[in-house]
Amino acid sequence: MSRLIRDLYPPFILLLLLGLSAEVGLDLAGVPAYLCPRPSEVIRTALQHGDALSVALGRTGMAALTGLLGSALGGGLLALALSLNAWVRKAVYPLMVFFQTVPIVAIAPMMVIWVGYGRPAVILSALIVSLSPIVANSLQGLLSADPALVDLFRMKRASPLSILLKLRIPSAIPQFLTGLRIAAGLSVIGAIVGEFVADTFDGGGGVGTLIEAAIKEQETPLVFAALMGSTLLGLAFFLSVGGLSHLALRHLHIAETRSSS
Amino acid sequence: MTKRVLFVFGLLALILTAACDGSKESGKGHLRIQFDWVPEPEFGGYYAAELKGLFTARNLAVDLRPGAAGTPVIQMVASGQAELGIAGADDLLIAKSHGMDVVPVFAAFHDCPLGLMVHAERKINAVEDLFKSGTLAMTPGSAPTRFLEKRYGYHGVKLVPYGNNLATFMSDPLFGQQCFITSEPVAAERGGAKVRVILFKDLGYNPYAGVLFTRRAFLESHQEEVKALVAAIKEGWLAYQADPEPAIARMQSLNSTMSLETFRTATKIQQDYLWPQSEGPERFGTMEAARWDALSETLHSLGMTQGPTAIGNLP
Repeated sequence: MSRLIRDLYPPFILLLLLGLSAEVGLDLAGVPAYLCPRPSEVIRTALQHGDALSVALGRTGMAALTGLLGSALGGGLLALALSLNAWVRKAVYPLMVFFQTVPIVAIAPMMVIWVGYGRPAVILSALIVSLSPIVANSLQGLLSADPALVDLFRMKRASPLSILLKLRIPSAIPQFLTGLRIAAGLSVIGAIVGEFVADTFDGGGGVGTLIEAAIKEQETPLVFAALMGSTLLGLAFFLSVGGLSHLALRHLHIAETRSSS
Repeated sequence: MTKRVLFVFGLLALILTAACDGSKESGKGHLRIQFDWVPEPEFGGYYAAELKGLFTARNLAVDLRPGAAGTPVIQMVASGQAELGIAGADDLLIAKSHGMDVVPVFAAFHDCPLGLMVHAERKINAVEDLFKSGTLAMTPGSAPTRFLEKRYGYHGVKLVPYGNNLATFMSDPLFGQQCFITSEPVAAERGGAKVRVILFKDLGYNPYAGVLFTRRAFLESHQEEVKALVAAIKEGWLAYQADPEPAIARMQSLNSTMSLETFRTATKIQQDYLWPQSEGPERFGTMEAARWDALSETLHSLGMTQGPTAIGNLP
């Protein structure tokens, strides 16, 4: 716990300083609230709309989490498949780069056609955005097992399956978790973009819908409050995966052992 | 520590100074008009005025600035990044209730050209049926979305965000969406669909559209220029209605995704919305305070403004 507080202390102080500077600076410069609301107003609005915000964050969070789990599973398996065959790797890897570079906003309307409006499209958006870092990192991990250990396994006549299960996969876990950590924040962005285009909002909606409605209603403080909420959601995802990573690796890898000491 | 705090303050001051730079007014007689969309027939009169030299004849240097999806026109005008802009009457009243002192000076569309587009073959006995089944694409939080919710309720219809993509409409006979009479219905019919448009004005929601507005402070200090500008724009619109081809060619060069044919069709359709069909163009562009007041009451009843919002003295 003390390590967590130690880690959170510097960014918290910086955030506090920036918030106070913005509060005073915006007042001094006479910037009207409809252009840039004061942090205090954003916090007040977040509290006022607490119910709507928490429902929207819950919907977005669930979609992002489902998309992240899907990309963890799918990305991990895809990386595994790519690691087994160089030809397949050369054929499929450029498509992965395409996935990473194509703007999700551009293909989001197509997702509506593929899977229809609603949660599935939002989850698919989160999955597409978060897939690439998991595949790229896991693949690198699978391919960079210590060559001396690979030779040792071969000398002992270990089967390729045995090498994969007992050497390559365990040694790829740190990279897989690094990819998952990057993907965690991206999955929230993917879900929000999906909601802009493909969500249904007759029963409320997620953060994307809330932001779109607040922009239309010219409720600038609510736009900022929703942005603040989504940032916190992304941070929670990032820290959760970081915690998971720490738990999984603390006894296995030297980097984690060092960081916890 | 103090030095660091001062550094942060200094940095913020620099950012704000840069942000406020846009509020400097351009030179005398130089007017920037910010549109809320790409060049399309709904701005035809402006381009006609430019091409016919109606601005320069009045000693005005006018910069027509195309917009895009989500261009924050009202905030840009309120903050001084443009002298004038174009928005809907409802958005202007909502902006006023949030403290932006904007004032309308000219309304291109006397009747609101917005409505709902559905497939013509869809069996509907009453408008209410549209809200009981199928899918309806509307802008979340917009005044028409709230108006329809209050008047009819969304009972059974799936509400989805409105986008500029007709693919779903074309493939789903039970899909309906909000539309601009000169835009989506024209494109859908060109794609082979038969459409039926139910205008918001026929459902009881009829704000002025394509409203040219400015900041009150700017209007008060530049009354003669704004007056001359409005006269030029009105003349431009009449010229556009008489012979739209030069302005269409100009707009198409700026928006090549829209075909010349679509420009021409849209120009014909929008004619009925520019001024009351029972009258001639004599009162074209003028607005009635009573209609603004009624709209203000409607928006307040929808919970979109803090209270009834007076638009102020109309020019």
